Amino acid sequence: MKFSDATITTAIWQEIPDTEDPMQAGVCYCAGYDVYQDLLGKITWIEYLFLLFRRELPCSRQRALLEGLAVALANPGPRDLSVRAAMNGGAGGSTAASCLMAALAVAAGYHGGARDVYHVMVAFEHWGDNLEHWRTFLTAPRDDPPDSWPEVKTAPGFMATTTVCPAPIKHTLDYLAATFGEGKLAWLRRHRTTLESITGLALAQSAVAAAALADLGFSPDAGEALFLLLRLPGASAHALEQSELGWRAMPFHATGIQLSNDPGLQPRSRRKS
Amino acid sequence: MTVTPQPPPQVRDGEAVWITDMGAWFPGERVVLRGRDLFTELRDMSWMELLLLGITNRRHDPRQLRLFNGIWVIATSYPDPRIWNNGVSALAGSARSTASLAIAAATAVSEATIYGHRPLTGAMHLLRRVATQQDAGLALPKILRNILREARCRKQGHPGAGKQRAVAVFPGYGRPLVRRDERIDVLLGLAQELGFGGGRYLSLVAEIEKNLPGLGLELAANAGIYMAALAADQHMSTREFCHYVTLCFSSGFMCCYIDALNHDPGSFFPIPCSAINYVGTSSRSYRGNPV
Repeated sequence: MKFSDATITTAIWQEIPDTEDPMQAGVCYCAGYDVYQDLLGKITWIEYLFLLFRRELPCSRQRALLEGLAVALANPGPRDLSVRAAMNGGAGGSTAASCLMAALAVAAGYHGGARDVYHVMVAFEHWGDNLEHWRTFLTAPRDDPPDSWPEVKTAPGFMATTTVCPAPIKHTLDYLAATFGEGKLAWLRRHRTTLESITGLALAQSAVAAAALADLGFSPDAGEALFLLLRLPGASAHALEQSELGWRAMPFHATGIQLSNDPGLQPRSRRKS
Repeated sequence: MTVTPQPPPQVRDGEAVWITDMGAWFPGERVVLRGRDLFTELRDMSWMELLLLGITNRRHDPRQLRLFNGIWVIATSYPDPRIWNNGVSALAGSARSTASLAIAAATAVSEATIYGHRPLTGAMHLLRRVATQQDAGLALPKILRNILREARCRKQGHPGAGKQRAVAVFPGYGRPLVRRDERIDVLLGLAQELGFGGGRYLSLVAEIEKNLPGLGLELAANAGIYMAALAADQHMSTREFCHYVTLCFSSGFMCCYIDALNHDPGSFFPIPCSAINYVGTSSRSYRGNPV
């Protein structure tokens, strides 16, 4: 594809300029559909989300799966690391954008976050539903090329801190697998306990999300981004609530730090070189 | 080789207390960083020295501090809003957002694949990997050939475009837009002036560059690999280097944000509707039921 320095190339969005001002859009098309004169009032938010990322409308099965996934991911709750990050912003009276950015930064990580979703989706691309390949993959040392992501040892898609798969994750997996029918979710549901015994760890919500996003036909890159996007509502709501409650309502752990190398109180007048 | 499942750590152990040797604030009294009192032992440090102490837990001498400061000044903070990460900051200014949001977003965007934190970290890793294998007796052409073969076996994504993009196989070699890197001579001049012009990793940069054409790769070294080499010669680890470069572009971000604030709102390279080159599905009608 050839590109011009003066244009934006896209298969997602087209604009017909307003007849009086070429800098304003008169008509906007998303993947060929007139957004404001056709889709508005007819399409649901979830269908539109699918259209933006896949450039086609979802079938009823895909719509139901994405709808279910969006509900399951929307709020991991105030103990979740990414929601806590947003709440830290709220508690201090930070801007709405910074609270969302804080949630994104934390939800992006390997530990139950979007990077984990990405790696599980890549693994689904490589290993499909071959349980023996997954066994080899999950028991091999991780070999991620070094870059700015920290090194991790936990197998992608599993919780580094527990052997007990929480009920909400099992409910999500059961519901989504039943909603969509045969696919990666159904495979994951069938083999969850086997996979958990291979890793010695509980299945994470990121693995369920990855299977769902793969079943919906999203690439690992798109899955990573959508996972982040779908988790924002709860983070934002909790941050707003915490902002209204104020900083005193947020745990500060006043006696919670223990320094292992505390030099003790130093006389201020005795300056060291 | 397989990994035997280990029992997971008990997260509950950390509920009541965070045990650390990094530092803490004693409200109303004092602050400790890396076991040192901020108000007595560290109060005359430059910001760069403080940053490096936090990252490495090592003190750096004045020549090293000039080097690490100089790398940031020379190679990382261009006040040009066309550069991708700087553009984020400029757009934030143009949209009348805040400086903090601009700088934070631009810093995060700097973890790019074709430039910024990821190839810089990859450059340091490349040098260390090559040096380790040289120490084991392997010849440089063979080492580089093996690295290229491994990347091809892994079916690594392309850095410049496509799905699952990945940092270049030889990060620090090649450059978007132009081949010549105007920063290198200035960086090397500073290194010479400080007596750091003869380090092992610095020499390795040129040796690798000489061997790349033998693999069919006509790639010139860029400033990133020199930054990595200079830091490696000062015993900075790959992870420490990754942390050191995290904030390195911030001065340029601030310039671009302020510059955009000084222009009219929304005036940063405005794009007319006609500049959208639509290559998607042609016009169609929605056939679903109304919501």
